[in-house]
Amino acid sequence: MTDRTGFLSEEEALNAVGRLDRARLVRFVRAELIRPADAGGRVVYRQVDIARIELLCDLCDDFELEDEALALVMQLVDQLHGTRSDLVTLMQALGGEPEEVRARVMGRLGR
Amino acid sequence: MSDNPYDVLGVPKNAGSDEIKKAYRKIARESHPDLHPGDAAAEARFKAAGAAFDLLKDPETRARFDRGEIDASGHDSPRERPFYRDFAEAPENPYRRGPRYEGYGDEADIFAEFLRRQARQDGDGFGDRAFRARGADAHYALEVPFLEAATGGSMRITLPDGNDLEVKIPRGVAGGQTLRLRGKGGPGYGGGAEGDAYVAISVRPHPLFSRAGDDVEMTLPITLDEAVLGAEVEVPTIAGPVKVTVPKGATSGQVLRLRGRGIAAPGRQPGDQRITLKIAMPKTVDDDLARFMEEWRKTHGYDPRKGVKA
Repeated sequence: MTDRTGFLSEEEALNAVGRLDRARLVRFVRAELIRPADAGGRVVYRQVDIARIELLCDLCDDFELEDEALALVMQLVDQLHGTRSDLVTLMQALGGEPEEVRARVMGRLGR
Repeated sequence: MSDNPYDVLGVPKNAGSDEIKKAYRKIARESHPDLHPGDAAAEARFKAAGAAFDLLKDPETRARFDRGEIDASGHDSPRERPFYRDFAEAPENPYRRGPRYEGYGDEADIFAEFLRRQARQDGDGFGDRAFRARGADAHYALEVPFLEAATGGSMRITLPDGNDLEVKIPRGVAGGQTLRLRGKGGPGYGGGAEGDAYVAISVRPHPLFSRAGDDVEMTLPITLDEAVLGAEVEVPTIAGPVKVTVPKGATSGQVLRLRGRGIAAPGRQPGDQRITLKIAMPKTVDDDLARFMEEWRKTHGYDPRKGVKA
């Protein structure tokens, strides 16, 4: 196995996720739900891909989602996480502002 | 919470397999950490339900559990797995959707992004309906040598079309990070912006150095006489060799700390270099040394194993 930060070959990715077989991986990649990276012409999977494959397997196994539904759910999931990330960034920016600015923004939020 | 799988799933002992599956799905739907990123307790509930379902979904293991042959914990170790939410909110998540920071100044400026989205919403209504699409993102993986990652630098990626792409390696980049190169992905359509290139980084291990946070760690062999008498020795650091004083009476495992000689990532206090000393004996113990030791121990015995007890 590779360390947490390393890249995985297709074979290693198949080993890393118990519920994953080649057909399923091909299906995910073809549907562009998983976009492996190019390492000098070699296809590799990143840790984020592995975590995402786990989620996709959950959605397939536990909820029996088909490709269309899977794509829809993943689009929403990505939007959700993106929006949360925006919010975190915004809160951090706000946290760095002087008390007076924060109070003013809080006042506006209350309305 | 009880770890009885029936209680975890909230089903009676005589529940049919459909009922069990349904109960598990309901919990999975409500507690999947990736679908409920704001719910800190979701992961525990989801894992408990997963373990319970694993136990009960197979009629054979379920029967063995019912007969008391196995208990709820004695079966498999809980599923070890990464969750997507641990990656998903990183600003550089390559799957992230929605926020793009095109042409509004600093991409770190979230207000610019909000303004831009506002502008797009205003303009999208009835105005310009021509087909316009952003180019596709490109995904690359790059293995960076330890020293380049520690001190920063520049590397080139050869693209599938034979061109190459320069990637600036920020000082202190860590494996698992992703760099986003704006506009370095596929071309846009109909005047749309270019896609981005995402470069996932992994760091190639170094034979001598390893990294712990922003500290750099290494093991330094010293001679017996250097250990006894102390010495000034040259030690490599990520920024070149420095002179280090080995104190008199140094011992194996002792750690010397070079303040600020570790990784100096922008915006963070620079780390230290930690040098673990290791006394290396000479290749052969010659007669002189043996004779001296024979004499020496007669009158200077000491017990370094005091307290070394099982």
